[in-house]
Amino acid sequence: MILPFQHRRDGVHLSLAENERTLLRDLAEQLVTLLEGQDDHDPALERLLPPGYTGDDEAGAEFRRLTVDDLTAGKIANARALIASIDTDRRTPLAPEAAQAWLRSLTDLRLTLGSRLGVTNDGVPHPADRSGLVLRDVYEWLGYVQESLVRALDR
Amino acid sequence: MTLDETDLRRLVAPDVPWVTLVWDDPVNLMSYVSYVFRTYFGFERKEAERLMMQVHTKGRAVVATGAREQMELHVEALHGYGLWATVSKADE
Repeated sequence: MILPFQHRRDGVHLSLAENERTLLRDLAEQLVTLLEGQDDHDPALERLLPPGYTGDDEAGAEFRRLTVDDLTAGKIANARALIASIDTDRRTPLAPEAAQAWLRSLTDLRLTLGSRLGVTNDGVPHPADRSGLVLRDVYEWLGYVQESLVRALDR
Repeated sequence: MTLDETDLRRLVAPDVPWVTLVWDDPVNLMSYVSYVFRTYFGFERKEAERLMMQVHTKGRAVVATGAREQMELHVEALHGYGLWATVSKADE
């Protein structure tokens, strides 16, 4: 079985199948839309841009005011870098900056799906319908992809 | 008498230091959290693993101590990595 990412002497290589790349591109595009939408009441966005203080609303609001634009822009840039490099041939290594963008964007995707699925320390709740089951499979697959990337980068 | 720069700094940033806390979350992979601790803070593998396990088992860990502004920079960077981090006074 071919791992999604492989560490070779010249860098980290992407070995995803064509349908997997299509799925990831679609998810990253949805993430960009979510981040650009700036719906403050979306629980997924609350997790992507969490409070910087606990128990101090004033400091928390000030921290958010100062950081939210840069953080959002950074997450959008990471998702776009993922999209831009998703068709990288498996013979060519990912640029180190692209690999870092992938790492963070995969995290953002997992945080978003985890929020949609209601993941807690007890695990993923049993989805109520077919689309929930698909979402859970995608969430778990993203975990596998990310673990592979962490291992490939960590050598 | 005039206050020199050191005194002014003491007025603005009293002796109580601030900390960066990282909180447990059910989504981030243990390997990823440990990787972030090593790459961002430059911790040795053993220390990164210790802090990651503390986050995992105790629910949170102090990963940095110092001036408030520096802690806010850490927290913003960690949010960029998708970790949930907050700034607190060290004695809280």
